[in-house]
Amino acid sequence: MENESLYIYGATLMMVLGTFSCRELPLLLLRGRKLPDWFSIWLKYIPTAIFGAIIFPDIFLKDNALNFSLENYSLWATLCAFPIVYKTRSLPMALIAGTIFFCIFKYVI
Amino acid sequence: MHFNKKVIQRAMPIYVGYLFLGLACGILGQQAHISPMEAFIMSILAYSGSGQFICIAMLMDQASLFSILVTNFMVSLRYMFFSTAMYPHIRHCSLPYSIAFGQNITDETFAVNIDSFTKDKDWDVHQGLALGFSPCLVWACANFIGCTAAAWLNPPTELVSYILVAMFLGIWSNYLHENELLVAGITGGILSVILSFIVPFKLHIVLSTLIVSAIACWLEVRYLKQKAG
Repeated sequence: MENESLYIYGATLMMVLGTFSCRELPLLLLRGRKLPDWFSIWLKYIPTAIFGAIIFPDIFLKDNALNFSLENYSLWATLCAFPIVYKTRSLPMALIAGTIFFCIFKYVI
Repeated sequence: MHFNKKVIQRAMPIYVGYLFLGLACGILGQQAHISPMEAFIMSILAYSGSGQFICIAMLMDQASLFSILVTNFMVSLRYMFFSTAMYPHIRHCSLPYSIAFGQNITDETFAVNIDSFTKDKDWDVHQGLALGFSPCLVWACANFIGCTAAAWLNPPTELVSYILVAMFLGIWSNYLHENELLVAGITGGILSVILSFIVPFKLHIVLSTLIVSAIACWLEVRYLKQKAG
């Protein structure tokens, strides 16, 4: 098997371990016992922190360096789309607005 | 597993949603050099929408398997709550059946299932499992088709990578219903950028998430204690 395929199957295995343990632990070990209160507070902050942590490097960095030039289409498209996405909180809107702004910065400006 | 008309009726909105998201996920996956079969297998085994999108972004970044594991574990932590809430309804089932049921819990199937268990006295685990598993097939097939179609269409890579960012932006916005959450997200983002210069193996995502969510949790617990005391 080539390396790339091995890498993808490895990633799949990691995904399975990650999702499986979270789905099955409460059923097998906790047997329905209540999770602690701090856990639910902690859990509330995880998704927002994760998506921030993924999005920011994707848009601010280009070739491993901060890039604020107009050539960094992702950054400007995101900054323009963000107010709309934040207001509507809609996934389809994010895709439409993001794509339109990206194309404007890449092909028009 | 009992697949009937009622299951189809209740699961229909999930089928439609997973069809479109699955097509998108397959197209994006192809850009990370995932083959249609690999996309199908990953979708059946992991069955996690945002988890798979994040995994694709990390594969494109050549992240280490360890950081893929930890990131995925953290996005999946919410399933612990769903499984805990589902436990009373499936406690009488055999071990393999419980495991199968647990494996088919997603945000959407959980919501519809818990609603059905509460409101419909004829609803049972067999229909519940069918309601969990049938959208998984839709999701996996849509991934396969999207991945196959992308290889034919050959969409511009730069735009497709950006669509993945736009997708994350859309998912992120759903978690921003309080100002603290926005602050936590932005702090996580800035910390992640800084850490990406320092830490190896693309662990900056995991680390900044852990640090920011732990601090936010600590602050909120302290605030609640002060308010109570």
